[in-house]
Amino acid sequence: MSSFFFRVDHDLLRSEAFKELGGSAIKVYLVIGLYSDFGTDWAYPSIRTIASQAGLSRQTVLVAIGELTTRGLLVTNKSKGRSTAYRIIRQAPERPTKGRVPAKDREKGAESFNPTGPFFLDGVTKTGSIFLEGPPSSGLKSLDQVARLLGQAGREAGPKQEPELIEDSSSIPIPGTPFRVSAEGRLLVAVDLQELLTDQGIPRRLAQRIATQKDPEAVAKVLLNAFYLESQGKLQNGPGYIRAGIEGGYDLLPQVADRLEGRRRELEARLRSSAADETRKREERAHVEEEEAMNMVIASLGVEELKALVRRAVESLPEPLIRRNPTLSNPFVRGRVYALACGEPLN
Amino acid sequence: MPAAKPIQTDWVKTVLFDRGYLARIRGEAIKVYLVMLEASGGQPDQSVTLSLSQLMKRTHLSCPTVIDSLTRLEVLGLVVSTTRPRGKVKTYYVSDPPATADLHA
Repeated sequence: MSSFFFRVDHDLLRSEAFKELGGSAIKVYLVIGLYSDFGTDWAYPSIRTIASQAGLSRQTVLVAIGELTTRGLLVTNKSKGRSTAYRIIRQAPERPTKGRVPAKDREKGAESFNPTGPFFLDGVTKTGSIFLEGPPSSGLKSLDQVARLLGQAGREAGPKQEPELIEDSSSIPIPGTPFRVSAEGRLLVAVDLQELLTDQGIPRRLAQRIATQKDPEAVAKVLLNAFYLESQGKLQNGPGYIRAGIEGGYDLLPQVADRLEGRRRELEARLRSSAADETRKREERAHVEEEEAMNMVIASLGVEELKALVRRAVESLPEPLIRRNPTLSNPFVRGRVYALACGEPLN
Repeated sequence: MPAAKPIQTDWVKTVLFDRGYLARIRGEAIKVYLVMLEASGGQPDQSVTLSLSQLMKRTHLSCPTVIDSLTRLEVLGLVVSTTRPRGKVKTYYVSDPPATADLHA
């Protein structure tokens, strides 16, 4: 077992996903997190191991994994001939899309996405938390499905949904696709590429070869191009284009690249703003704590002692600082009284 | 970028896994335990108590479920209950359980 730590983020514990998860799913989450490799975050415990550690049956573990995947807390990678890999999504997941179909129903052939999302690369959609080299279960079944999702439906009429919450996220989803883009402009892939390629009509063996030998980001670029062209009704032969694109190393189409850049800038702005908010909050908290510490010390002093300390503080401070207000209500005087009383200044 | 603060990592690993308590915690009790652990900063702290309503709100569980979970956790020794002077209000805090979860108990 890894000697490194596995953390459970506070944001996760306070998220809606945590409230809606069953106890079994949480236990499976913890077990997989424990087995996660410190560097790569991937874990490879068998179902039997998870069941044993969590005190659950095998079937319950499988159901729990499905639930975690649906809620965007877990990503799985099933490659033929290899053990299943799991990756915990640590940040607070976005709220599940209204009408989103659970993973088990997707396997039965139901539509993967509620086709009420916005146009390709525009607006906001909930594609779930996705990371590089990730796996599965939210793969699109066909380009037709993507085109229906991308091109034709508008926003569903109904109650307004809460804005998407992305906290602590180093990447932002690309609407209408199973990919994300990072602040550095890297394309992040979190689906089983082999399955996705197979769903787009690529023969299974070729898809396997591509998934194992080609750079996932390069494959994602070609797929994004294919999705875009399909949404514009300009793609005649999807599998052919994808094969040629991967073999030829096609780069992003200018229109696709522009929109990705837009999303990347949006992410950058969000990250900057959250960093600034966090700094401001930290400073406010520090100020409040300082005030509390000073109040506590000052309250513990006797009247005469306090007067003496105030006198000493006023004498020791530079004149400009105490000229207008040489009393305890002056923050400089309060700080100096604290330092004199405690023998050390506030940090 | 805002960083989410974690629960004390070694407590989760040490108590729940290494000592085998995770397999002993049944049902929704794990949610109650994690919320209590979060409130106490990831370490056993007798001074930190949560009310039933707070637990219900954070875990989204019903009152009977939370009470049942607390009872189960108390049987395992993961939490300890204390009763206020008049004996009407029960509070719970996270405690340091025995070294191993005795599966035959």
